Amino acid sequence: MSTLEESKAAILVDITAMIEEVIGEDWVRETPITMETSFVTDLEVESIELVALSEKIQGRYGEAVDFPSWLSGMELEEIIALTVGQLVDYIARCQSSR
Amino acid sequence: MERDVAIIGMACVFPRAPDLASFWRNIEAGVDAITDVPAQRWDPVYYDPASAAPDRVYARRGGFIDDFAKFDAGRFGIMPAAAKATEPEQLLTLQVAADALVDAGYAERSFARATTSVVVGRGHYFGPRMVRMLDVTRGTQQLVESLRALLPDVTQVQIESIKRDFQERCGTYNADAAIGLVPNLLASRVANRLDLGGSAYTIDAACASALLAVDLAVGELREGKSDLVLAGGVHLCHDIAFWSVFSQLGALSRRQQIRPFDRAADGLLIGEGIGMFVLKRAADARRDDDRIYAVIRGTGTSSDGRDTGLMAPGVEGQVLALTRAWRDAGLEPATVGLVEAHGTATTAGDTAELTTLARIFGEADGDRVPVGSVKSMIGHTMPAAGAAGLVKAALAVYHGTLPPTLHCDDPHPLLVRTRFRPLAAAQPWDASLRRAAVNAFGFGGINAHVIIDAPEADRRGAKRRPSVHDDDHALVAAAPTCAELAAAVAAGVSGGVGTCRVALIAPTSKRIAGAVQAINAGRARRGRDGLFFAPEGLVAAGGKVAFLYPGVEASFAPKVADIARHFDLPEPDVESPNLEQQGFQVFALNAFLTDVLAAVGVQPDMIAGHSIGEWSGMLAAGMFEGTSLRDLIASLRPGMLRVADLDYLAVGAGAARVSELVAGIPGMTITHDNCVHQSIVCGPPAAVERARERLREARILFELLPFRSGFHSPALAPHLDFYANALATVALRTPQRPLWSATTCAPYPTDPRAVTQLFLDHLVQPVRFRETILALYAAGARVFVQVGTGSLTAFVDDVLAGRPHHAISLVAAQHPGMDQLRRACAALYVEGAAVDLARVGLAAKASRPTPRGTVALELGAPLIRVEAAPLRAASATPTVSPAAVGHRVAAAFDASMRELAAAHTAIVEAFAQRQPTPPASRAGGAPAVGAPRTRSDRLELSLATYPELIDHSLVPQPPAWREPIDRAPTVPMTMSIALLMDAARRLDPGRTPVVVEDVLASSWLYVEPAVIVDVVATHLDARRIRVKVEGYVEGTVTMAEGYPSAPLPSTEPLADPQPFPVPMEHIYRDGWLFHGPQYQGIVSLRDYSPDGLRGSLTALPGKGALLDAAGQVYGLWVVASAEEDRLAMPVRIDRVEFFGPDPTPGTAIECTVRSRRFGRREVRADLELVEGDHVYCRITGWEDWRFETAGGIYEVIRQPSEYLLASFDEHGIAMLSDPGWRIVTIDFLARRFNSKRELDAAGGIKKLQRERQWLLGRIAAKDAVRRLVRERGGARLFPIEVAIDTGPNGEPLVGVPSGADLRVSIAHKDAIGVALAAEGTTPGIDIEKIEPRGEGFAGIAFSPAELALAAGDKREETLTRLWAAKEAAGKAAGTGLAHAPKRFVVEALDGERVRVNGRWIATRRHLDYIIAWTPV
Repeated sequence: MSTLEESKAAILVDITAMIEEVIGEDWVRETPITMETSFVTDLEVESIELVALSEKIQGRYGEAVDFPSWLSGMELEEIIALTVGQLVDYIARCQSSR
Repeated sequence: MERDVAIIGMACVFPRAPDLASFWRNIEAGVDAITDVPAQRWDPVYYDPASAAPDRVYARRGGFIDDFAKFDAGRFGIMPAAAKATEPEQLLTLQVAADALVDAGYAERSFARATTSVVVGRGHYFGPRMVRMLDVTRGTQQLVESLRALLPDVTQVQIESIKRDFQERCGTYNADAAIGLVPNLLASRVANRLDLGGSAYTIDAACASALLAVDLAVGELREGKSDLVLAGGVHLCHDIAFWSVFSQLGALSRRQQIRPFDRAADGLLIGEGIGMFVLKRAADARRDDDRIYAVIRGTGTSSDGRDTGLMAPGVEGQVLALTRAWRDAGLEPATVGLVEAHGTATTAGDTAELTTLARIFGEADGDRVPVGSVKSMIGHTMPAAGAAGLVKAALAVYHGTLPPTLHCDDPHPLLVRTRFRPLAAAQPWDASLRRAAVNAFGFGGINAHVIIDAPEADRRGAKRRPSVHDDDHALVAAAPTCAELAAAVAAGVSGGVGTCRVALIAPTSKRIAGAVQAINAGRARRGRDGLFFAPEGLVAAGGKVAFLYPGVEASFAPKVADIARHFDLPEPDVESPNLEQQGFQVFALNAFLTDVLAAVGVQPDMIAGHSIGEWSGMLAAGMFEGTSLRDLIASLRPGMLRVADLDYLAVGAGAARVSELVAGIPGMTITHDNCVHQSIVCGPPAAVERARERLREARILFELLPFRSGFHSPALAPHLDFYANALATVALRTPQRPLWSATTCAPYPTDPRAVTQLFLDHLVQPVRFRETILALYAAGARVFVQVGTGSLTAFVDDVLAGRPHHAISLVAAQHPGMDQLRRACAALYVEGAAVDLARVGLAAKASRPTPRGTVALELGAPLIRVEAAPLRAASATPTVSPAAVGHRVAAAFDASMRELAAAHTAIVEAFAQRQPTPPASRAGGAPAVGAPRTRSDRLELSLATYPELIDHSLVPQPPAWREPIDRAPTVPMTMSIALLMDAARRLDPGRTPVVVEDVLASSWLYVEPAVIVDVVATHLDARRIRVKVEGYVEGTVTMAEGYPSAPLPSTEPLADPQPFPVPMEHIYRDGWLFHGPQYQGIVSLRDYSPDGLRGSLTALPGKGALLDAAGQVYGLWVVASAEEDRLAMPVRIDRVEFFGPDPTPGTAIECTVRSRRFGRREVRADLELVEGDHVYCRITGWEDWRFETAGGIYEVIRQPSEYLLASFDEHGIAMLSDPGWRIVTIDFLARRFNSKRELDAAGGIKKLQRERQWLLGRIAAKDAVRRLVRERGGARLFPIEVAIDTGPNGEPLVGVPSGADLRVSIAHKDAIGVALAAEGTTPGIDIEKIEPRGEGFAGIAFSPAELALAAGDKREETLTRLWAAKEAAGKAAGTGLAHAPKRFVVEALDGERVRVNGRWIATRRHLDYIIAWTPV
């Protein structure tokens, strides 16, 4: 496993924990969250929850990751199709370019 | 014309399968449902494997449904007592047929009832009630003759006593019961109760009956004679005589296992059950979007002819039936994928059938096709066998599962040679074409074969429905504890009662397993994954329900078309071309969904709105009259766009943080404090641009919104006058329900000026939604329902994160339409809110474990065991002591015999009259030693013996009314309890009755005219006595040496106590309770709560009056808590415990009622009566039944003089339609609107239940007269004060107390009655249905000139108009048409007016009817 893959796996663990906290329902803990999991289709995440998630991402990764501006660069269709993997990739990119 | 017929609904009951879902689960799992015969079906004495005698049988195993023989009497308007006297097969067939219609989705949805037929296969066997009739008629006399012959000295007294006892043990047998025995009523009863107009009949083709019924149904549909057919088969006969036939034939399995097509098969075992199908032409089913299980492609039937003997199956005949079916279908037999065989497991049967299968389908070549028989699981269900097989085959093609067959371990040599094979376990059936064929062959050589396919959608490759039992939208279950709930869900049992509840959307086996895990974990689930579970629901725990109304949203595309269709509501227009338009549509959608919630019975405890959603809230709170909100919004329209230079920004941060960020930017205002993580700001575009930059820097999400309205900002202030003016045109009412303002975070004020001010403040002040949610929460709200589309549920979740609550949206993008509505209803159910799940198709259909209010039917007629000691020859003067004879009747008469010391004949005479009243005087004569086990007394219940009962009259009548019978005085349930206790004391005078249990009333006990009842008390054991007031009520009384020590009152609180909504002084005065002074035991009421009610009572002297007053408190709680069907009457009580003697009259008693169950039809509560500081009486499981009171009935029942039931149009025509009232409603109405004299003249009240038209016309007529009297300034008459008699020409003659010359004309057609009243002149009215009339009618009724008037395109309507006009003219002339319609000449037709014999008659169309009348 390359370093990049290792760091992505670690990020996925972090993000999964954040998603569970934000949604706060038992079924999320029973649902395996993978790189393919869709925020809107699979998790039915509300926009408010993305805000809460954004706060948690900022708290965890700090200035290096600008989730709000990344998200605001997207069209609605892209947000609907957004997967956990895309977010993990984005965070990994921000960290490696630092 | 397409020949295919679709199976769109099914229901069944078979051994170990109370319903369709469990039957399929058993089939899939290969459950063997064979058991030993229950003793109540036939006595073990008959089982003797060594005997060949005709009255002995060598097998005793079979398939039995005794556990599921429960009939929901209330559902079909049949009294429990009548149900017990009817053949069980008739009632259960009715129930299964109704369930099949429910399964087909036609519980509420309308269908062509007039062209719906019923064809049921039923053997000409006999049920338990018929056996009892034979016992009563033949058996009794046989017993008597035998006794006389064997014991020449037996006395007439002894004979009579034994005969009477034997007959009484046979149960009720009277005229009503006799009707319940007529065999064809099996089908007729279905047509009658379900109001079907096609042909309804039973057929007997032995074991081929059910498939013959399906074949006939297919013919009916193909020929267009019927549009829907309920077809199926029934077999509920396990009488020993029936078994004896099969035993004598050697057809029963000696090894007591039914093994179709196994080499070791040695005969059949007898099963029983009912299966019914809803059949419809496939094209119609697709047009109507029905769920299709399977499509019947072809059917074939035949007889064996002379082929073989009568009892031996003939191959040629079977081949003929199969060939005909495949020819009928136009299909190749080789395409079959599954054969459900007849498979009797008899040597002759299996051999013949396997030969037939080989002949038709060919011999083995490659892939083998599964064959099986469901008889291997449930036994041979005889006439119902084809139904069991067809249910199995239809579900197999529908689910795509090849089902197993049992006990075919070593296949028959002939089977090996066919192309078929048995399956030991279920397998997926993935073929794109799933075709199955079903056999049923009957004794005597009658054969039937049916070919079915999976529905076409499946064959085109559309994916099958996802879930295992996908006829269920969800699994919905409740239980008192998590453990019980988990067990029920694991067993797939839905329904149940309790506050521990679960609802699982799309219940696949995997998801069910997950749900069981979640339930065992005991943590509430309110998930987006479609699993809702609460160990104790938030509402059940006392939480309140808040409705939240959303305002305009950035995106708005709700999908509600299917909801509108489902509820038959107009679909709201939600295709927004622009934002301005969207404003209207939000209101329309919100209002639409409010109606939907009302339709499913969900009511808010509090209401709030977000932004302009608050206006929807005002509407829902009843602040706007009629259309005034729409008018107001229409007038505001220009204003909504007037402020244009503002941008709105949704910001992903709380209001406090956002204020800091935009501080210093001129013109920026916070407009919405939505939740912790979102607020909205607005300002001029340049300012907003600066704000966006700051937000980007702060890494905060934001979104520019498409609004520019200026709402909730000071920018709107200059326009407030405009809004104030618009508002001034609208009359605002004070809120009828608590409405909260998001401007003040508090309930709306009541002062109109304050309301207006708040309305205006709301426009210019921020929306404080976050704080409002917190305030609602503090006021008890736990369940929040978003009545619309939008983000309010997300706001609530954000605000209340970590606190117990449940935010539910009725509309969600992910689950369009009904899908989300069902989830919302499921969520509400789980939380314990009142919601009508059946209305959205979520009710635990068919799966009714044992719902309350059902009658357990006895399927057997076991041997009658007379409890007499051996008879001795008696001397002419009897000296038999009761102790010796031990027989209750003889015992009871022993006393009189000794008293009278009279001759034999006199004793016989005394017997014939039985015991005279009052019985108490004889109690002293009862022997002290060897006390009797049983005792019978005859009581008179009347106004003479219990004068106070006049104050327990069900029907309010004028105070001076002379005929007590018209008031319907009735024995209260609680007096019945006292009677049961009296009887127990008489039997066991040394002890005290302390508990009365299992009290069940089966009929009203009217006491005018006087009734004579037999009260029979029988010791069950040393302490318990069963007492029956024959035909009316029964219960078990426990005797003790003294009262147990009195417990302290319960401390269980009543949540959220409020004053009772009706002032005490109005309760009895205004008919909220019907009781007169001697039963008016409630002194005051308090602590009205969702959980119950408390009242202070005074003990009154009337028998049972104190407990009756406690029951009144409960009745009032139901009145106040139910939205409809508010009238509730007790029918059963589980347990009444007494801790002391009856309080002396005048004693103050405190009563607390705690509601335990609030069902649609029945409600249950526990009642506690406290004297001083100790409990005097505790009642658990007091059950009331609710009676329908929709459409103004409740008011008329309460106060007949104050209310009219008919509606009136502008011409003064009274009209009343029958929406399908229950029989008890007809009874209530008939007694209020007619005197006994009038009812008798009409043929009696029973006749009215069938012929409702007369009653509709009578009510309309009496209301027309009552209204006229009121309009003339007269009194508010009771309906009974308006007497209507019939004159010599059939004309109604009106009598009113004032003697005024009032006249009325009455007409009725179908389910509509109309009437017109006038003073001093004779009115005429008629109603006729617009329908084709033959030329013969036209020739008799009309002259050529009249017919010419009707020429044109609306000939039928015009002819009906002319005919109705003639009828009306005839009635106005006082003669009627008198069989000479041409004497009344239509001279002119002017629009809707018709001139007859010089007089203009008005007419109008109403639905498909013409009403004609003489204008007054």
